[in-house]
Amino acid sequence: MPKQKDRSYSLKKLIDFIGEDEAAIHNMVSIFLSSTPDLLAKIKDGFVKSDLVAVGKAAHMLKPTLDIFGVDNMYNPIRRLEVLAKSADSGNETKKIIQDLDETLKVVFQQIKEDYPEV
Amino acid sequence: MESFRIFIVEDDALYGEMLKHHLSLNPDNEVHLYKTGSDCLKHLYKNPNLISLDYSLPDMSGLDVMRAIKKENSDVPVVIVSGQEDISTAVALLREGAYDYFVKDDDTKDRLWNVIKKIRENLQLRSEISYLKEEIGRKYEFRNVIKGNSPAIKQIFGLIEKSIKSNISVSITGETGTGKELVAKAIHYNSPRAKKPFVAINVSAVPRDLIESEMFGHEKGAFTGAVTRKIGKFEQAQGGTIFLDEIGEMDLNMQTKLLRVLQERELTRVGGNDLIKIDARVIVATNRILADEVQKGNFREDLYYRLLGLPIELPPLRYRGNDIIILAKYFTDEFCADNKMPKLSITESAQQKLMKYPFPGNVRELRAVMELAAVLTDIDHIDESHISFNSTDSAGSFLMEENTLEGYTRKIIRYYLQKHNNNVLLVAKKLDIGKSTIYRMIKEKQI
Repeated sequence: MPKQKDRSYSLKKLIDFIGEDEAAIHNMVSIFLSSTPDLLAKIKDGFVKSDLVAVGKAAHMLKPTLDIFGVDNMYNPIRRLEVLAKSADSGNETKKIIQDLDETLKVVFQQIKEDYPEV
Repeated sequence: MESFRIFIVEDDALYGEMLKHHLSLNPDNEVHLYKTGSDCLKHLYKNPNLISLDYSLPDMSGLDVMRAIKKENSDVPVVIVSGQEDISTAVALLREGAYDYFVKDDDTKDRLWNVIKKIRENLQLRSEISYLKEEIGRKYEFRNVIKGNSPAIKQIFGLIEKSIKSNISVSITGETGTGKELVAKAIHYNSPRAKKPFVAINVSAVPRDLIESEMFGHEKGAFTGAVTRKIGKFEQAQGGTIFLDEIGEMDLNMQTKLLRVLQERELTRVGGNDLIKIDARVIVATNRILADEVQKGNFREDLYYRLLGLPIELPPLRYRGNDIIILAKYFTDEFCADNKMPKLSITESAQQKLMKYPFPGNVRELRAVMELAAVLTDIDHIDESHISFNSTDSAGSFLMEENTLEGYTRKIIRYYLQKHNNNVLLVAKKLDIGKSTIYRMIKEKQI
């Protein structure tokens, strides 16, 4: 298990959920790495196209994934984004959250790839 | 126990895989993961024991999927696992029949685990209930419970067979203790309604003021003391059979209400407004002659004809000849087995004593007599001395012994002498016979 100090993510909840099964953890990490960029892309794309419904749906799906992967600094922003998208708010707050989300996830992806090079 | 089949319907790949992995940790679980509502619906033929359903799916809403599932199989529990913390959605889904609703959070896995545990316990209970129902059915296989091979009882077997092939109302008459409820149960548990409830109500045992509420139920606040809604016996018997014992004791006002329910096949609870459809077969029993009660104006003629249906008149035990011995042996064996006692035989003299007795209490009385005899004997058989009759209808049983006039006279004199400390003068005076007649009978050892 890689050390997770100073990381923007934590696998504690995931391990609580599925147990310390190395193969299963790798499988989940792999799913995270393949599905999360798609959801992020849908959010960014939806915002650009002013399709706030698409933003809301993707944010809704991303919410439990970020919780499970312990991306704690996005815990409240992703919920706020869902609310803003629901009320079709495409203002600065929405834009800022999406930017933060993009930057945070870039870091998370990088860190996970470093910690799990074999995945 | 066979596998517990779980469907996870989840479009979030990560969450779906996590749930699948977690639930598969129990090797008894067989977990299937579907990403869309339509994919789940396509596989319902696999008969899942539980469906964990994400509320937000790409092709259908969770509500629509649940409705489609319930349409196909209304019994399968559906648990909604949603990212939505919306109370009104949760309430709407629970009203539509969801087993539970929880939001995806840290407790999800424990809650799901607990739900599975509860459902498995529930399934176990259901399977036990189903087994017990089959056992009851076997127990009430009528040739197993109604013993005897007399012509009178064979005729009853024929009528029971006819009654189980249709839904016709059945009216059972017979003296007390002839087994009216046993016959009603035999009809129910051998009929296509066997897996639904058999509900019995003794009309004479329920106070007049409560009978309507007992039969048809009541709404909360319908009358003083109605603190909760009560489901009546007719509703409890939905799909099954309702047995109205001692129907002849029902008052005329209630008879009118019963007639309406039987005609319309619907009822209204006391204090309620809603009409409730009723599908219950009716079997009634009475030890009165209902036709006479109609003549006397005590029983409604229209209700009489509606209830009469197939009449079954149970013969008194005294008219069933050798059935008395068959039943005596059956009750003795049953009592010995229940009390882990060795088997007991019944001597010829004991059998003769039983055959001579008129059994005013019928089969019920015979059972009590044989159980007492089995307790009284200290040896491996029951003889005459262990058989004692304690009928409350002593005058009736005295006359039904079929004695000669001289025999009756001797018995009467013996009884009076015992009662009056062998005071011959007093007995002669009371019976208005000559004292010399009594002395002669004593001398000749006739008494």
